[in-house]
Amino acid sequence: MFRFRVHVLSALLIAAFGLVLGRLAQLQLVRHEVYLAARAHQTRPQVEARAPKRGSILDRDGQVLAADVPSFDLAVRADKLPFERVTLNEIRDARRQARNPDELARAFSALEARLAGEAWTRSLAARIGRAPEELAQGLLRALDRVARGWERATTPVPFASGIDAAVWNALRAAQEDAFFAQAAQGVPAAASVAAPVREETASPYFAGLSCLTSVRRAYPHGTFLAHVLGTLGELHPDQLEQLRARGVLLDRLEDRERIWSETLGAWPAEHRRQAAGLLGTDPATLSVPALLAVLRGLDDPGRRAARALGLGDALRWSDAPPRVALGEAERFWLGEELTQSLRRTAPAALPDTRIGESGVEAWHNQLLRGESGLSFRLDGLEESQRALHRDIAPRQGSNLRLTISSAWQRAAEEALASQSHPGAVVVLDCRSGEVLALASGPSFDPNLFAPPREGAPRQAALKALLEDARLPLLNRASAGQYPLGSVMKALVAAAALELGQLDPHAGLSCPGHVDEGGRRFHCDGRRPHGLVDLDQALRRSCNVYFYRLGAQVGAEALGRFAYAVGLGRRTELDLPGEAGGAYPDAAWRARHLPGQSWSRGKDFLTAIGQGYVSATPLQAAALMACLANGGRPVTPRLWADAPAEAPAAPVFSARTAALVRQGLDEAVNVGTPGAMGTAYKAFHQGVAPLPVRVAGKTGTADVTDEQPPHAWFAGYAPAHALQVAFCVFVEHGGHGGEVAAPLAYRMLRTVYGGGR
Amino acid sequence: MNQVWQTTTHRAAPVSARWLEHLVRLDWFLLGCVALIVALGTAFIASAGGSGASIGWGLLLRHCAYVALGLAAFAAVQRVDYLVLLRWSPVLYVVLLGLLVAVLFTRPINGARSWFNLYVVNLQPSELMKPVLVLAVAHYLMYRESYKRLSGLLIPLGLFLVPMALILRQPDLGTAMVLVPIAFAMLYAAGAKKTDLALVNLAGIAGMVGMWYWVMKPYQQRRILAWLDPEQYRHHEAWQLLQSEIAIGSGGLWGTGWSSAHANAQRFLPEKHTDFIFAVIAEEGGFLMAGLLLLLFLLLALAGLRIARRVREPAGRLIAVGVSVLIAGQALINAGVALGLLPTTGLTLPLVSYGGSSLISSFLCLGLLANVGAKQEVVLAGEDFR
Repeated sequence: MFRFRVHVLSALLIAAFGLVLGRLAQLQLVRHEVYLAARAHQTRPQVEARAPKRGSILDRDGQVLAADVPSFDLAVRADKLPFERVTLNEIRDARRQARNPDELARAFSALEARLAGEAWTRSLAARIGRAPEELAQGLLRALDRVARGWERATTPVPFASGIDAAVWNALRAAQEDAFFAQAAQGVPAAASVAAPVREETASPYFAGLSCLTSVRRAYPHGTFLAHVLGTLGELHPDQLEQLRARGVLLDRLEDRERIWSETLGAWPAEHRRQAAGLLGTDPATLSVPALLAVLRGLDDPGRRAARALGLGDALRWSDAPPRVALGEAERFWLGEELTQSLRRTAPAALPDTRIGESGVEAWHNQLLRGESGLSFRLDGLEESQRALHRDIAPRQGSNLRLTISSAWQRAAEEALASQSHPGAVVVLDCRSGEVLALASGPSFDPNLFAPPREGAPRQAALKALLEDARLPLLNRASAGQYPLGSVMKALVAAAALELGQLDPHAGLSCPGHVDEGGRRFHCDGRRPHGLVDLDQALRRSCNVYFYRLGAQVGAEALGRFAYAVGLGRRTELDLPGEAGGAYPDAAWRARHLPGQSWSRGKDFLTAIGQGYVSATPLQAAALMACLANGGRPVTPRLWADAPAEAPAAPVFSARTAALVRQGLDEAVNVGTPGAMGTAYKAFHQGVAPLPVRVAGKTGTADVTDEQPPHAWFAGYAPAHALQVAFCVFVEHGGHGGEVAAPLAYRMLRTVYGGGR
Repeated sequence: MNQVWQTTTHRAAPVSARWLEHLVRLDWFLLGCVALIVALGTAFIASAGGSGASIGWGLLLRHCAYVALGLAAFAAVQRVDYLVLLRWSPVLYVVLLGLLVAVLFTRPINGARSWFNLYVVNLQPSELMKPVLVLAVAHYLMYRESYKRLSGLLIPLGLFLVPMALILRQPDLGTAMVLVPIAFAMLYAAGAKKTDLALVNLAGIAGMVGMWYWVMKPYQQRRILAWLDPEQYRHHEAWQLLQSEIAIGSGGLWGTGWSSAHANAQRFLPEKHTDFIFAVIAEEGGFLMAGLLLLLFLLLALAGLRIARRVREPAGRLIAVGVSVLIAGQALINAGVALGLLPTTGLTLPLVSYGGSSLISSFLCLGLLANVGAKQEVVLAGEDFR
């Protein structure tokens, strides 16, 4: 029985092997010719990514502010380098063995020194007129990319850029000549290590060196508008996942869906009911695209409510496009879609890895960047196979036209540069909110950041920038928040008038101080102003008048107006890193000062823009724009071609705005002795008169006793025509009327001309 | 004292003599087949590991090291009476099950949790499970008659199904599937009724259909679809399959020559030194070499089954059947995949493919087989004397 069954098994095995042998014979003997022909036709389809051209950034008149320019680069093929094997393995070892960044840095600088000592590096450095150390640094970074699998050893990886065109051309020609000369002699090209071919005069051949051209971001005007333009950086392949995790890179809908469902899951029932009321439908039934569509349709109070509900993230998605949204070709490139047949030839990195890091380069990155395309090299493939490999054309990046007016911007930057303190200037179109100038000083040169960032001088400059105590990288105009000082008084006056709590002509006696809660609150300079009405109070910046007015209106009621015109919240400018400032209404106090009681004295301080009030220069300019245009709040924006928004509903009546404007006008233009406007001197004493009438409010915001106060001057011009609103801010500059107002004069004179 | 000393020396036969006896009784035909297969495989590993016309010395050296380890394992098994191993087989089985569970908690390598990373070598417990499973099933079936009933098949089938399920979790469809022919062959040889086995077979097919829907990952489904319709999937799942077929087909009778730079497999075939080594051999060695290799596997299996017929000890002969079918079955499946007869599974060609765990496991299995064949004791098995 057992033996019989084993016989059966043997027979089965023989039959199975027979079958397989038969199939082998069928393939190898019968259909041999067919497969031979198929093999002859085999070419591995080659895929190449086609980088999109990054769009330029223009000012409102079409002048180029940032653009890609050609760059002459040197690249290295790691597999052809005379010292490739050692170095790649050593880099991998260094990465593996280093236990902390310090060790890694040490190992890398040792490697760098080794590379700098190679004959190849030294003679190349001499050839292009750079230090071998600088070249070695770039070389090491390029090889590191290969060692980490971001690039293939067989593709040239750039390691030095911005080579002088003549030197580059000569080098390329010499490389080709030497290569062909060696090929003709039958000397394997890889064997020659930067050794002269025959005589001293012959150029050395650098094995593995390729001369490539690429593009580099250039900012032709240097530090001009640097904080708005922002900087470009490089996206490394392993940063993609990190960016996705941080929500910066929301190329995948499922990531948004995940965040949305997490948000929903964390909501209490009450919250959900409120959201249902706000959105008009149960939020749980909304997909993310539907949610964003609903949010886009919200009005301002709606947006405020949505933010209060914790929909801030989603609001931001609905406003700004994600920083990077990968196109079809790029998803294909990076993702699962890359077919097995292509994966081996495709380099690991995206073709254009530059990504905006700050400024509009970051905010409008997607618009500027475009999308990569793919093209296939299909030599020798049959028609049916070609059809499977559809080229995807790259979508070129669009040009970004800004609302910035170079004339205003230049005037603003010159004014700032005319003094030594850090500061900021913002100029807005007071009807549309378009930003005509946004300057922050001190500034920096964004060209320093444009990748590639190799090279010791560049690194040193960047380090100096980052370590500068004056914080040149901080955009003080929209990301710096400072106590607003007396500029706030314009808002307090408008709010009180709007609420009907103020008779503008009623006088109030100012004794120079007022006592409240055991503390004495002074007027500026501690001198009594005597009997003041609204015009006088704004003109002479009487604190006592506004102490009383602020306490009468109350911080809470004032807060509603503050929020409406853009204080205490971000103005939604399309620039990353905007600060929201602070306004101490009940919600803010609950968050930041839990358990502390509120007092009349704090109302006093709030009314003169001290205490807990802080704002960005941008917000002060937006406040002035609102008063200048008759009471409509503006949303500042930088993108000239942004889809038009419906104008906001007025916050103040025309009468209110006109009454406040009268006071602001007097602050600049009334020079009655003894009751002079706080900014009168800056515009009228000892200076040429401007062709336009200016109105505005000075501010002097005390910070600490040791340092001089911040100087503000916010206003608009011309006083009787709707044109621009502006804000000049000087950090620890001193008195607003003495420091900030003259800068404003200087700027306005540059633009409007003056001194006939 | 003196007395005892004398007695013990007297009783023990000299160790070298026992070795010699064992060596003489080994099935040298079987071992000859093994030696030829390993030699042939090593030659083509050297070719597949290189790039272009150069030899992959690193790969070749490591392969030789694994072969040496395998031979050591083979020799070690010869030193132990397989009946002792049989007694320990339940313990070994449980330990291996534990390892199969533990491996599911490791970090995946190439998308599967099949390996323990021991730095020098990646240990693949599913490979070691093969010889232990054969031992354990033989141990269970040794003196029983219960498997002649349908219900009695449940436990031996369970012995197969538990590791299969764990291996499927890794996921490693190929290694799990290669256990199926062993199960059927051992149960059939042990005397299970054909009708019962047919029923189990039906249940198995039903289970496969269930697996398609609940267990298999989309990529595994696509592999099967690609096998059914290669044109449709030619740039994705069927890429390997088509490249393998082109490589084999263009080999012809004589082959393109050892380590030929323009061979198709060298340029276009991923996994050419592991799962698709057969395509390399068939392309470079032609029908002669590939056919010879298949023939050697068949002869090896037949020699194994001859041992099964000759041995009268009930567990030993089951071990012989199990090992023979394991080696032959795995070779058949691997060649079948390369030839486009079966869907891609990711299974090695035993004794040939590069890979430590696979080689050592194969040598352990063959060690058991040789050990069984060389055993002299004649234990009376029931049936043939009835």
